[in-house]
Amino acid sequence: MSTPIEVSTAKPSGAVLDVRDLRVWYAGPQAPVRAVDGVTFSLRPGEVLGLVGESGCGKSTLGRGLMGLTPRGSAVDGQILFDGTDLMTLSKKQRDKRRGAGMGMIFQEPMTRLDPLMKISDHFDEALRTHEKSLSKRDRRNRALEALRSLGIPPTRYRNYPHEFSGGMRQRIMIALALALRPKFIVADEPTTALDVLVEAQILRILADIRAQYQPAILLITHNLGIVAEACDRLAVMYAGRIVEQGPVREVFADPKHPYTQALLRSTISLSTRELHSIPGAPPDLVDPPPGCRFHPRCEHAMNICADKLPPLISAGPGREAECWLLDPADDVSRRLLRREEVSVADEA
Amino acid sequence: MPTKPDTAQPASTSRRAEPVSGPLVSIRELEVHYALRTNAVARLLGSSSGTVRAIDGVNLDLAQGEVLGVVGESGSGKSTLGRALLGLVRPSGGSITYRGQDLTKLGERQLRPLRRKLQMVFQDPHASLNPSMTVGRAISDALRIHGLYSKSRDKSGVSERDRAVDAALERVGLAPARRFSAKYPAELSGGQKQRAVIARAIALGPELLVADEPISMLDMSVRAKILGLLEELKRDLGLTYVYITHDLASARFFCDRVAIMYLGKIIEIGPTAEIFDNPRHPYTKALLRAVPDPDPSRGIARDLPRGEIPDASRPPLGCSFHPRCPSAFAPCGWEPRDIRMVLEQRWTAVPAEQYATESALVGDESHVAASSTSGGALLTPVKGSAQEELELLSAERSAHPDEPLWTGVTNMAVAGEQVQVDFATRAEPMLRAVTNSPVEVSCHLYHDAVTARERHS
Repeated sequence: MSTPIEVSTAKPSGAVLDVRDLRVWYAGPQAPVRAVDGVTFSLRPGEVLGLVGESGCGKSTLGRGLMGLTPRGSAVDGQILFDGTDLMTLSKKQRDKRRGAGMGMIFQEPMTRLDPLMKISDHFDEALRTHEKSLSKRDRRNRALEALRSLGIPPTRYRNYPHEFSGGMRQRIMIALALALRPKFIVADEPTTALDVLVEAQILRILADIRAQYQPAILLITHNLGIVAEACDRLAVMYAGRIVEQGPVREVFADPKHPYTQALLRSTISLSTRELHSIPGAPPDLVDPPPGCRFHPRCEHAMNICADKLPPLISAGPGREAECWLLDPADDVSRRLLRREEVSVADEA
Repeated sequence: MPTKPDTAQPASTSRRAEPVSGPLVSIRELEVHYALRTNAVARLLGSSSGTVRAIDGVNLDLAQGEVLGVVGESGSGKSTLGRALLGLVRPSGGSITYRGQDLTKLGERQLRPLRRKLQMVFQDPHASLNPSMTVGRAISDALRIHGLYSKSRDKSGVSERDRAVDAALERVGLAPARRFSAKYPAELSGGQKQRAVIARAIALGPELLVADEPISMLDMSVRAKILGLLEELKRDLGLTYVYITHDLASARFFCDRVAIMYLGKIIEIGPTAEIFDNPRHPYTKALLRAVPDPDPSRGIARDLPRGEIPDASRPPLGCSFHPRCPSAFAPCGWEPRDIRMVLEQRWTAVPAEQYATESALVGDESHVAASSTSGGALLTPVKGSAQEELELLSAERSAHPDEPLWTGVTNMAVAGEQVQVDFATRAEPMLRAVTNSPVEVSCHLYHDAVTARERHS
C-alpha cells in the first residue's frame, strides 16, 4: 500500500533529535545556494543514522547546520528539536552552551581540529572547563584519561602534543574529546575518510563500542556505503539538498526504492563488483535546482510529472520513506515516461 | 624511439605500442632512501639522524599490456615506487630497466624523450592542471615540450598539433573537443578534470601509464566512469598500467596482478584472483577483512591488527609487520620496543592507580633498552626493584598468554639491578614463491625451513 502522505506530524516518541523542514542557504554571487533545502528526520538515543550522498549534496552543511556552525552569510530556517527544545529559538550564547555538552562533533581531518600548540591534556582541560564548570581539576583529568583509555590511547601519551600522534591516534583523540563531555548526540562528518583502511576499521569498531557503552545518537556523514552498511542502523540518502530516501539499512540496501539510491548502490565499487555502473549526468547547480524532482534529469524512470512537481514523501513500508512519484502509481498522462535528449558522456560530475 | 621535433605522426589515439620480448619494465633491488637531517649543526657536519627507507629492495617485472596493482596504506612506499618508475625520484640503489635502458643511470636530458613513453596520472586532478592554462593549452604544451606534431597551420588555420589535442580530448570522452579545449580547469567538474589529465597523458602516445589513485578523489558515481575509461584506453592503445591505490575493491576489479606493499617492501604478489580469494600474508588478510563492504549482513571486523604503519625511519626488526601481526611467532624479529608496546596496551585496560604505580616502576622508553651483549632487552626499573618489574612482566604474560610477543621471548630473569629479556633468533623474511601457487609472499608462515624449525622448538 502506498498512500501519499505529507511529512508526518506525529513526533516519534523518545527522539533525542527531531529535525523538521530544515533549510540552510548560503549567500551566492547572484542568488542563494540552497545547500540544504527542506530536510526532515529524527534520531533516537543510541541510534546511528548514516547520511550518504555525493560531494556537494549538502550532507556536511546539514551536519554543520544542526550544530549551529554554518558560516556567516548563511541563513538557517526550520525546526531542530533537541531534547525537547527548539534550538532555532535559542540565542547564540545559549546555543553555544549546548554544543559540546549536549551535542558533539567529530570532523574529517583531526590534525586541523587540534591546536598544534596545545598538549592533549590542555585540550581536554579546556573543553571540560568550558562545559562542565563543576568538575575539579582532578575530576577533569580522570574524565579525560578515562575517555582516552576507552579509545586505546595509552595514558603515557596524555601530555603529548598533537603532532606526536599518528593520524589514527589523532582521530581517536578527537572522538575522546567529544565523548568526555558525554553528549547525547554526535555528528561524525566523514570521520574515517582521511584514514587508512585498517585504521578506519579500528575507528568503526570503536564507534560501535561507544554506542554500546554510552548510547549517544550519531549522525554519521559519509560517502562510503560500505561504512553505512557496517556501522549504521538507518540510512538517509541525500541528493541536491534533500533527503530522497530514508529507512533501515538492511532494507534499503536489499530493496532501494528511490532511483537515485538504486543508482548509487549500483555504482559503488566493492570487492564483489564484476561490472561497472555509473550515474549519467551530474548533480544540479544548487542555485537553480531543476523543477520538480531534482533527480529527474538523470533518472531513467523519469515521468512527465517528475519534471513538474516535487514528489511528496511517500511511505514505503515500516520506517521507510522515499520522495519519488514511482511510489504513487496513477494511470494518466502525467506518468508517461519523460522524453528528452541523451545526456552527453562529458556532462558528468 | 628517438623523437623528432615537429614531424607529423599519425594521430596518437591510433598508435599501438611495439611488442617487446620479455618484460616491458624490470625492477631489481630498487631502493629509495631519504636522509633525515635534524638541525643546522648536523647538516654542517654532514651527519644525518637516520634514513627513511621509502622503498627498500623491490623486485618487479612488468609485462607489456598488463595492469599491475600496487596496493598499500599511506607510508607503504607505493607512490614513491610509481615516481621512481618515471624517474621522478632518484633511487639510492638498484635498477629500473625499460626496453634495455637502465632509467636510474640516465641523466635528465636522456630521460626526457623516454618520459613521453612513461606517463603518469595523479590523484588530485585539480592540482595536476595549471589553473591559468586552458585544457587545450595544457595538452598542446605537453606536445610542444616533446616536439610532437607540427604547429604550422594549414589552409583552414588548424595545425596538426591542434588536431592531436582534439583527438585526445575526444578519445577520453570530452567531446565535442572544441567545447572543452577552451575551458579552464576551474570550469570543469572533478571527473572532467581527471579526463583532461588522462587526455594529456595519452596525447603523448605512452606505453606505460602510472595511475596513482586516479579515482580516489572522485565521487562514487564518477569513479566507475573513469575506471571504465582507463580500461577502454588500455584495450585500444595497448597500454601497460601500474595502478597505485589503497582501495582494494577497485584493484580487484581493474588489475591482472596485485602487489601488496608494506613499509617499502612488497610482502605479497600474485594474480589478482589468487590474492583476493586466497590471501596468504597476515597483512593482506587483514586488509581484506577491513574493507567496509556494502553488505549490511557482514558486521564490523573485530580481529584487526593493532596500531598503525610504523615510522619508516625506524622500521621494526625482522618482518616490519610483526608488531601488529596477529600470527607473528618466534623468528619474526622481536625487540625491546615491542615490550614497551605490550605494556602500554596493558595500561589502557588496568585501573588508574595501578597504571600510576606500574608506569612509575617501568619509566619511559629509555628504560627499556636493547642489551648490547645478548641482542635481548634490558629493563631498568625507576621506582622499585628489578624483581618487581620481572613480576609485572610475568603477570602480563599470564594475563595474555596469546600475545604473539611471548612466542619470541625465550627467557626473562633479574640481572643485577635490571631485568634481562632474551628473544628468539630473528630471521629476515624474503619474498619467495609459495609451493604450488603463482603467488610470492614474504612471511615465515609460508616458508618451511624457518617455520618447521621454530614451530618445533
